[in-house]
Amino acid sequence: MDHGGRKEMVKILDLVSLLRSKNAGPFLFGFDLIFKDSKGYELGKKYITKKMIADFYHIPLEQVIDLISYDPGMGIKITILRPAISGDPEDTDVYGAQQHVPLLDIQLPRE
Amino acid sequence: MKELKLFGPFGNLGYGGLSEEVWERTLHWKPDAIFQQGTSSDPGPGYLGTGTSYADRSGIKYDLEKMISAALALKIPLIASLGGGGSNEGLEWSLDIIDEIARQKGIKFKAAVISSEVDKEFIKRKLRKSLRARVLDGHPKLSNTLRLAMVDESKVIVAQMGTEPIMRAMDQGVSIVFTGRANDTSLPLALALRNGFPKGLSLQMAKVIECSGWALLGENHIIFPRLDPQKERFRSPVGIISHGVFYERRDPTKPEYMPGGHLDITQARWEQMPDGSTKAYGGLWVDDPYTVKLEGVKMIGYRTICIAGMRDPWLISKVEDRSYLKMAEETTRGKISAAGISPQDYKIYYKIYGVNGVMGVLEPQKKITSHELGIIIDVLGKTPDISRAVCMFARLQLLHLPFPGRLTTAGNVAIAFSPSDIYIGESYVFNIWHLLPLQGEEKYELFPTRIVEFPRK
Repeated sequence: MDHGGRKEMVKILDLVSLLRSKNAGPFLFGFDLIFKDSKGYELGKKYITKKMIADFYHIPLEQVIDLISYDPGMGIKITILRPAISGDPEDTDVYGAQQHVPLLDIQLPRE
Repeated sequence: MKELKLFGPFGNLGYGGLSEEVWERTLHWKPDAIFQQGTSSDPGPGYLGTGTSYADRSGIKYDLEKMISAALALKIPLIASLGGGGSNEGLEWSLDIIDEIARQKGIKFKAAVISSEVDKEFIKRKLRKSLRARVLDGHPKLSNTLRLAMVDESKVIVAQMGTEPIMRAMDQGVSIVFTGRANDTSLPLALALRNGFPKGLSLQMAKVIECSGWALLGENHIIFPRLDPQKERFRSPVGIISHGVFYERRDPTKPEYMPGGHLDITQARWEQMPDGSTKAYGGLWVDDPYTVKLEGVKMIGYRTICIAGMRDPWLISKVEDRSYLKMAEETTRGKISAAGISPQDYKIYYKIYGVNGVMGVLEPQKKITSHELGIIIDVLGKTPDISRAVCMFARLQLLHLPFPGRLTTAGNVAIAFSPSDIYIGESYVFNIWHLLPLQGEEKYELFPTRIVEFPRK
């Protein structure tokens, strides 16, 4: 759907049934995006990139370690380098459970 | 055996969470074996370092009593990992609880106890023979390969055991096994492999129910039944996958790495059955060189904290432009030097909720929008006395700092408690997270096994 050259965007919150962060070991943060249906999942697979994640967190691209989808779970897994190791004095979130918030602002082009 | 029913009761030993109704339903379902994880690195390095448990003693006792009673009544195996971080200290602490249960309930049984704390000399001998132990997840703050100095610096090192030591222990005729640090999947997987089920299918099953659940393992597929309707994650294949595959893992297509191999579920199938259960199959075991993951921690000092709050909007604006805490810390450092404490012997960290207390350097929002701030002064000192003294000076400056222009001459923050400074004690960081290659019998030798009769003599 094209409105005068501008693509209509859809908010990630309208597409997912689960969006969370958690340690993937003490050295990585993992983000899980589980989609409500295959249509939303396909949009996510198409438009969510490592570059997008790096921009949302203001981190260098090489600190986005993995972005891997798994069709049977309609889910996308993203891992980034933890700025501080879990439990280090500079760490602020031992379990990594509250690091997902910037991803709530993701918007994808509606198709 | 054509079928094996496996039951893992609790998310973690000591956390409980199953209703009496579900427990009874499970017993009627007639499980063939019970397993339970009770070790983890996720609560951070402090538990391995101090040898303490992240679950409370009374909760652990309650859960163990239920499982041991059920295993003895049904005459089925029970495998449980114990002790939080997995050190010998944590394991022994847990065995004392089991001893107390046996005495109080008047029950007698034999169990194999497999420890997982690693002798530093064992690792050093291997490293000296120019063996390379590479890091599991690369991080700028961690050496890519394990060095002798890192082994020496660590307070305690544990290895995550695979299925082999557990299966060999059961060969000695015991049906109850208590382990130190183990892969959570090793516990249900050992039970499946002992009964002759294929590795790939068995690990697919184990990955899903490692942190509690039910599985009926057949020769060609797994059924995950819904014995607890409250557990939403067992409602659908997507629920099972999101919890059992994505959670805490880096690659959902290869969600588990074990000593000697990993699980590949790229081609696996997950199907919803008419009765609400999920049927799954197709997981593959892929052989890897035999390595065990080492987890080590080192002590970095003694911690004291103080909790305070700030409500004055003008002062909050001075926190936002970074000037207030900068001056508070500088003034504190001056007072500490005057008291004869060297700057090398302590560190002060301010965690500020309402600014970036949760996300730290990743926090994208720079503007403070809250009407109040929570401040934790976090001090690491070389000795307990230095830690306490520095925290006191830091608290005094936060409270009374004569910041130019302030109206609040009686105090700049609200102190939450009296006594105000909370001494936490020894503080640890992870310093080893490396894969140690093992040869031949070493996969058993690293995990000493003994048979213990409960109650102990």
